[in-house]
Amino acid sequence: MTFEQLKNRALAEQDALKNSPAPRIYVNTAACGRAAGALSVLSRIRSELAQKKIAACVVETGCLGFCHLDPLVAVEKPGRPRVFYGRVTPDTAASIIAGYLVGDDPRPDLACFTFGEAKIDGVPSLFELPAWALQARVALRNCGLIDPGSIAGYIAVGGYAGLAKVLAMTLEEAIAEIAVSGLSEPAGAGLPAGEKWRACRRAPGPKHLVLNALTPEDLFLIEGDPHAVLEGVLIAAYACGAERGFACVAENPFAAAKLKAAAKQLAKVGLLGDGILGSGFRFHLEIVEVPAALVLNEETALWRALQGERPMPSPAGELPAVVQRAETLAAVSAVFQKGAAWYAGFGPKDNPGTKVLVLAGRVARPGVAEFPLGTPLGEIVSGFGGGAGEGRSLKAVLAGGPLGNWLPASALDLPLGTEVLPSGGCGEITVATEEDCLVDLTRHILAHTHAESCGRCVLCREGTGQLHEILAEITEGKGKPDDPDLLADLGAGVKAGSLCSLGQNAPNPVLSALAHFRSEFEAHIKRKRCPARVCGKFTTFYILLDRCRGCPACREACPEAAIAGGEGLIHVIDQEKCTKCGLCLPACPFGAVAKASGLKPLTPAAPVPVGSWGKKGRA
Amino acid sequence: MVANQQQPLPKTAGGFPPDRSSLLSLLQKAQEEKGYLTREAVAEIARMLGLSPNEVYSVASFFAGFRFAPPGEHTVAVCLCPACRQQGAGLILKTIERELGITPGRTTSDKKYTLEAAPFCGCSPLAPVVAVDGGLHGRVTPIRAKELLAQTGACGASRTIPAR
Amino acid sequence: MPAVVLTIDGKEVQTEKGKTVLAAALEAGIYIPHLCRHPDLAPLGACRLCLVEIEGRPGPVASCTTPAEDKMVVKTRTPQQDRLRRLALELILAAHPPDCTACPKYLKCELQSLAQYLGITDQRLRRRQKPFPVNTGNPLFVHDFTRCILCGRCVQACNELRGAGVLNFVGRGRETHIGTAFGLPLAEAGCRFCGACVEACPTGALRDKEEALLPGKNRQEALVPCRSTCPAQIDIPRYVRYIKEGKYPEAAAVIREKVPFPAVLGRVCNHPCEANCRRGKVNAPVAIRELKRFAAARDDGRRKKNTRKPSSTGRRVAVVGAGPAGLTAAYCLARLGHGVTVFEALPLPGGMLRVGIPAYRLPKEILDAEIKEIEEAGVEIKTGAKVTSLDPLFKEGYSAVLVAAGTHRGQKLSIPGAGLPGVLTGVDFLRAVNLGAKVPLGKKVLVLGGGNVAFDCARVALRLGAAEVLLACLEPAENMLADPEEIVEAKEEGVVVYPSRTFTGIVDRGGRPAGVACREIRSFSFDEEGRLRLDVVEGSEHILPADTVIFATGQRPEVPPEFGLATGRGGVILADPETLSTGKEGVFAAGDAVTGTASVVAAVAAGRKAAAAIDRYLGGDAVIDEKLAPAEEPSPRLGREEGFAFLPRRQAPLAPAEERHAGFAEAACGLGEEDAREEARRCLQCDLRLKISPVKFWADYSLRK
Repeated sequence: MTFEQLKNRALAEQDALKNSPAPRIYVNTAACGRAAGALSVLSRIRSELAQKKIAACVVETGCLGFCHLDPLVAVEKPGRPRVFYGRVTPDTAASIIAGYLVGDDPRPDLACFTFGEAKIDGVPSLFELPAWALQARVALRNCGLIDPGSIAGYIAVGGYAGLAKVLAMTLEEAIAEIAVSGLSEPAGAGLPAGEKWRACRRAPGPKHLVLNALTPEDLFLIEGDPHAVLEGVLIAAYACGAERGFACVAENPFAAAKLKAAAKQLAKVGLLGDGILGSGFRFHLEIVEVPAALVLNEETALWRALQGERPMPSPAGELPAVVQRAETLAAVSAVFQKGAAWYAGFGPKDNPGTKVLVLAGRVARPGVAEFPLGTPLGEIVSGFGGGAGEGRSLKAVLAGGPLGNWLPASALDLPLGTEVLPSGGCGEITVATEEDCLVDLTRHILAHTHAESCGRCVLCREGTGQLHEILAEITEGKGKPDDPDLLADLGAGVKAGSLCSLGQNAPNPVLSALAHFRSEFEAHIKRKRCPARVCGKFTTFYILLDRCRGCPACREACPEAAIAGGEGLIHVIDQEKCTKCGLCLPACPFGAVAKASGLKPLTPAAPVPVGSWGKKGRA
Repeated sequence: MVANQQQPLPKTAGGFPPDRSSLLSLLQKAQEEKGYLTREAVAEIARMLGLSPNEVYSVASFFAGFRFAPPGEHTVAVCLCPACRQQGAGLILKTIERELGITPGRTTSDKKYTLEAAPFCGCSPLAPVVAVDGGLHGRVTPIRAKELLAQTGACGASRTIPAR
Repeated sequence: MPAVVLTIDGKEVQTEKGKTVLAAALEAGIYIPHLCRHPDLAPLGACRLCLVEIEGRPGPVASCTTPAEDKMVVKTRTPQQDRLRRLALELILAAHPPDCTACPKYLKCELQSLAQYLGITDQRLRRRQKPFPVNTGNPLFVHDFTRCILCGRCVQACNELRGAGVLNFVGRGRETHIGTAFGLPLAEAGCRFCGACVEACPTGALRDKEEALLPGKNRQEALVPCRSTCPAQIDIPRYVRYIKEGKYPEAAAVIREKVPFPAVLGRVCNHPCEANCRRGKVNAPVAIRELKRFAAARDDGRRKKNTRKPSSTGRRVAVVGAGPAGLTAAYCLARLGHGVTVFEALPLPGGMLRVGIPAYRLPKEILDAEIKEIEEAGVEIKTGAKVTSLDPLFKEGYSAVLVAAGTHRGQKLSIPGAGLPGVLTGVDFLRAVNLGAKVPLGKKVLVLGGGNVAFDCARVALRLGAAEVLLACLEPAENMLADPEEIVEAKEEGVVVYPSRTFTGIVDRGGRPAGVACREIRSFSFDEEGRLRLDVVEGSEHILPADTVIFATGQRPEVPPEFGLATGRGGVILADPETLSTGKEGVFAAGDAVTGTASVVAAVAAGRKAAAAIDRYLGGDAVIDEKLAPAEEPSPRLGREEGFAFLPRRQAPLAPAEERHAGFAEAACGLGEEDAREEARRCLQCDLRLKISPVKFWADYSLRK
């Protein structure tokens, strides 16, 4: 089959779908949707439809990226825009069906936005949302909008045209095209894809194309638009001269299943295997579920894992493979569909491109989005994320996941690029406020990186261990005055001398926290205080006298029986017994449990009747 | 030296090619079958690939995802990534620890639950996240955590506090 | 090999393409600290001590994994590198026990040496104790993983060098350690017990068990105990390997390089090698003697073309006594070009091999064949030629005389009744039987003594038709002097053993013995003057009935006083332990006559030593070794083998006791080919370990500068 035939068939199929009188219901069942309860919403939708005998087409989509709205459900009736509903519960799903499908009320009270040409009164269009307008959706272009399980759906929006285009090019032309786009990995900082491909093609021996889909962003893409990634895989394989490839998906049954299904469809229509699209190009892809390990972001480590070896990064030697992340490959397919110049138009001229970010932490609207390089970080956090939320002040942003840097609020004007994401392309942005102890968070991050060190090189294995140990001691009240200097010295050494990028970036959170928030470390070490009142050693839990109503909630929640009290009595926490686990805090329905670091307000030694403390005075 | 090194290797179960590159897939398949990697499974995979069991174990032990002891009937994983931790993952873990009476990495004595601490969840925007038997649950509170345990079966979650 | 020229620390250094920067620097005498790199193993780049700066490359790089390139400019000692290096070592030390002096590797530890080199004393980092108890549960090796620095050298040695696939990294991150699948003991994990891992370990993490090392020997000897305990220094690992490879004539040639009696020793050697064989600590020692017998039987004589063809020195040597010592010396001297005549008092040559050892243990034709080859080497043997005085020999033109007369006079205990007829010595009894004389025996024979001679007497008596044979000795059952297999076989054949007995007298019934009066003892010892001290069980007097009593309680040399040689305790000839020269000019002495009754292999070894001494006396260079087997370059690769540690020792088939009982045919049949190769495969090849290059310490490099 030629590409034209394939495309015509797909378009016809999609048109038939579009012109059918049956409404379509889209449910985001990707990771975020599932975590938010999309599966129970989905089953309710199905049962409601069955019960009400409504012939509707239910489509499971990937995530649009507005994770704060999950479970996100959309309804599209013929000739109408797609209407998205956020935070849908099984009950609201039922009322939407009753309102919009049984009746004809699109329920603007429940709707968030629409997608499509037409409008619905009282509901903004997706394109008008600032959180959308800020974005440059290249890799994410179809995520949440198309059926990831349908190859026709992808072809209908321009899919595999890039592959058709590249197959008409010589290898040199293909590489030239990608070079013009300026695409690199990690975006803006790494080796340009063009150089990487060229080097691989020139190397002797058989080559392999390895898809690395291990980070949350990459899995997001695999779940939302697997064909965009696979098209990129095929284009890159063609340009590098690879005939065999591995698609490495983090061990995740949902993502792997989607990728496998997509690959099966490809093989069926002759886009995978021998003689792709009737050309001489052949490519065989093996889909490997790779168990989680941070070091697999190292190309040599990933390659070793694929060879069935311990994934310890090698210091030298060229790989017989090009390793690219799903994000990059999804952009590759866009570059060939829409042209290198189009892609080069995103971001600064000297460093074009886009980057997918996962925004999380203490932010009003967490989610996943793609921005042009150069977008100021602050705009992303506030424009897309809605800031830290009401009544909170943003303290810092951890940019780049566990290997990233803590950036203070004052650095939010930094443009998205290497300065913001130094750590090999991980796009996780975690927002922290005054409620967060950076020493404590950094300690736990280092516990993680230490556990993830492959164990080969001393600086990483032992160095991250020392960093973690020192941070732990600081949070436990055992910090020494020299510790900040020691951390800085150790961190710099581990960074400079480690074998691979895991070790070279592992100290980033420590070094950046020290650089910008040294006083927080010193508060722990010298003043024995945790300003965020997180570290148990420096925190006291107590019960607010004027809030306690004498109910047993906190007492029942306490695992140590450290809370004394009774019906109608103001409860008192025995500080000797309290282990600062914090379970009483959320247990109190009246917000009467409070934390202090440093001086704790005076409380009675034993329970007193509710209301009596104020009357008797504090004598 | 060893007989099977000279004989042609049999095609492995599941149709994987009989070379090292199938190792991860074979390990995953073995774990799927028994819930963990038994000594016999490791020996069998080693035999199929012409490796020593030590080599196979060395690779498998690298990945936190492979188990060498049988897990409980239900696996509860609490994500401890920074976003989840900020938003109460620590409390959730403590709540579950208290409910089940075990620390992460352990299995209850009735073999009902295995508790795990996960370094990341893949959907941090929904933090804090708990996975029960692979099913993700976001925006979890300590109370919700107890409910999740209760939904898996009456036994371990008998102490769930009634809604107030 | 194209040359590469690079600059290291301002010095122009030339090396071969393909070598690393570290190798190039070390060759040029520029020391770069390193720990995880071992000269025989692929570099890992793990320890980060060998970091250097290379012009034009970002950041420091590990010199052990960076190939040297032409025109490279390398700096090994910038302040930044010094900082990183110190940090790397500090990190290693923080996770390593600080008690160097308590570590068995003290002063031989590469980590300790580097800490000294970099001058790291203070400890600003947090100490970390790895949670591994010392594991002494495995044979031969101690695993003390608190001292492990995860350099990975043992893993490389076990996997890359040996291909054994046993030790490997386990876990990751802080959990990373070295181990086996599921923490299995080494034997169950398929360990070959070659020791390469221990050899590669830079610290005290992997060590030899002290008790598994031969005491009082240097390292090389201690690590290959079979070879070093063989009195004749036969290269046992080498010939065992040849057998494993099916190269049997080569194996025989290796044995022949040291001894002219391979087939004899293959049957009657008391094999001290097996007692010390390291495989014995794993399950059972390699059946070295049986393998020797196997190889000797497959000697096709090809080796003869490699034997020395000396021109005559014109000197003549007389050897007194055609036993194993005398014949070995004669053979070696003949190979050196000396004319040798052996004088033997008995009618046949072989000494104790002929008249001491019964034919069921050593068939006469085996002995004859090996003596024949000695004669073919040019040795003249005169039998029935008792030498009564040495001086005439010198007059007859002999330049040197070796007295190797053995210990042919049996000793009786001085107890009442020892002089009765029907009370014999073992030596006389065996000699008479071996020379075909008829020895009248009673129905009940009692042998006194617990050594091999005693058991020989007992078993010969059985074969001669004694209805009942008893054996009583001083030693307790678990500590008898005879070889264990001798005891087992004798008991199978019907000999009844009474250990822990002392003898007070022979019961005299009408001038004939009727039994031996015995007492049981709890233990015995010798005081400072060598007198026996007994702890006798009160009231344990009893009589073991017998009508023939054979004393196998010691023997001594018969040296005619006319020889004019000084003798010592027990009548042995006094000779210099090194030169074997006696006080008399040109007279040397060797064998049992000097040492008292010892073993065949000790006599052979003494013969070699005597030959060397006499050659030197005659102006030679005393080099008696021959190169008969081709030079061998053994493969360092052992390969994987599950269950290797459990391979059972292959036993040579033995005729059933009833059959053995019936006559003097050889009882043991020797190993068949399959068994022999399987048995040879059990060898741990301890000698391979010595082929691993020793690691140089920084001081070794600074000496070269």
